[in-house]
Amino acid sequence: MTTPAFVADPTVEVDRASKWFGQKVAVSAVSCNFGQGITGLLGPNGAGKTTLLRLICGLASPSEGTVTVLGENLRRNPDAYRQLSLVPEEDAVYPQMTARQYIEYGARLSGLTNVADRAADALRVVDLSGSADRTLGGFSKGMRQRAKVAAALVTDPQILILDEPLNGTDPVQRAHLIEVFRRLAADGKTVIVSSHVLAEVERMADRVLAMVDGKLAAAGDVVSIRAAMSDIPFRVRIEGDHLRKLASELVARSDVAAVEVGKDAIHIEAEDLSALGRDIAVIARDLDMRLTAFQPEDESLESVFRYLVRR
Amino acid sequence: MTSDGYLYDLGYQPYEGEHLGRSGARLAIFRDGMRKVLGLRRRARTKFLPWGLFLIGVFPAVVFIGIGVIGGQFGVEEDTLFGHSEYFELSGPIALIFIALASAELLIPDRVEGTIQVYASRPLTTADYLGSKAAALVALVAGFMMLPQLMLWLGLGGLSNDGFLSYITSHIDDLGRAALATTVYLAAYLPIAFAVASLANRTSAAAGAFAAAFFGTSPLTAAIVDQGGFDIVALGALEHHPRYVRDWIFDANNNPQGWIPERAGYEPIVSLIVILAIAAISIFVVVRRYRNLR
Repeated sequence: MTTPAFVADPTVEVDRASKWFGQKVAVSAVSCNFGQGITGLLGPNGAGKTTLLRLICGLASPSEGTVTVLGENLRRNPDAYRQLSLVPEEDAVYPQMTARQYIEYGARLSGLTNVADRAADALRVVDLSGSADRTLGGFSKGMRQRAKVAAALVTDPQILILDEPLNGTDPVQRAHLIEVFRRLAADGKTVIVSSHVLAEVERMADRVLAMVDGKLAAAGDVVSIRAAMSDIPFRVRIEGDHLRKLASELVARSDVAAVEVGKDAIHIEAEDLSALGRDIAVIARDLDMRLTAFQPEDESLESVFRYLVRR
Repeated sequence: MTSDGYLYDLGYQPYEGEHLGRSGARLAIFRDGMRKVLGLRRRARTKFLPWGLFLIGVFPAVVFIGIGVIGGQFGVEEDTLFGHSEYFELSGPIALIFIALASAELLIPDRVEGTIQVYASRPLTTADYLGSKAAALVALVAGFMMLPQLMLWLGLGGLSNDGFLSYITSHIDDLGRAALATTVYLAAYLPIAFAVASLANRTSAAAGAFAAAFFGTSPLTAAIVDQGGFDIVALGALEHHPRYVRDWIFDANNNPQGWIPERAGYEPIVSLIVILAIAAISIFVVVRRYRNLR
């Protein structure tokens, strides 16, 4: 496969996987794979991303198709779970346990032996060493999130699945966790992050898979995905002098769908951004005007995501 | 997108130790289950019921052994104390209440509060999860039921005219019978308790429904059976089956009126078959309910 939904040397492979619950199709014939690095899994509520994560984690079996982790079907080979950890979206913690006990329990469940050292390591990684002996019931949401991440990291998994891992975290904790995930990815781990917080996915993910209505709607990096949406005009903000003259020049072009003149800038909707980018310098020179900004306005993940949902 | 950036050294080390595999997971769940049931590492009020029931169940045996030790010197006869089968009349209902509360506490919060996900993505199977939880409860209940039997055996030995050593060696089979009866009680109570807990979403509702099923069926079935004509209803007397089988094991009769299945003309083996059949159905219900854990 050569599309951006596929990477070389995958650790997780999803092959035409579908999952339906009665009449409702949650995931529809999704094919993609995941390898080293951080992949952001995006989609509006009900898009099927949590179901896809559950299929990957072996928590549900596909109605059709296959999902394998390091070549194994997790549902048939529980020992393969040694290589995978999940940070679920739900608050899956025992409130009466301390953070240390919870993480040690997770280590024991995974069959580790030197659990005390491992738990201390994991607590340090998520910056919870100082609160290790406090009960989780007294933790803030953000601290519980970090405890869940530590419980996932304690087993040293090759694959880390994170379902909304930054929920409830403050900006400092968020930045710290993102650094942790980036470090793991740099160490060769496969990190799959499902999130609604697009800006954060944009900050950490090397690759994005977007799901809409149970289907894989887009894959790749954000700029490439936006570039591939040739049916949606690109929106560009242009700043400079003599903007009205520039606007009347551009409106005559067949590849410009709309021109909106503002106080300090004009906003163009163009079908071919790269052609416009090449031509604009020539037009500006001919008009003897000075351009100070040529800024694409809809290459952010949020814009791309909005377009995908609308399509 | 992250094309560059500085990576901090966070002190994360790869795991290079030994992996115990699923046995490690099973042991962890077993130990956690025991702690949970006994209220260890939890608030004081969660300890009150399990330890209170434990004390109620064991205290008479402590008194008996005291009588055995002291009374033997003053000519107190061994038949003045409870026998092994009679003691189950005290420990059986307490075990039932204990199992009702403990099985609900073991299964329901994990499912309702989402902590089942702690297990779902670990190297273990549904059978490991349920089996380890059940094993924790079996160990505690068996210990709770057998400890007084052991104390009773020693107490009766202390009162025996044949001498302590002679009694305990010649009555070792009483312990074997007690172990067998304990197994019957566990088979009668625990699978149903797990089945109810697997279907309910509230611990109090599960414990109440389980206790009601046992304590409620006795007067109901007795009323029908004693009027005659619907003997098969006697098989629904859930609480009387283990008691009837227990008396069979001990060759005793702790109910002069006869147990409800006995009054309907059923042999104790029928009660044993009913216990095993209900246990099998209950296990099926639990496994089916948890089939999607993985």
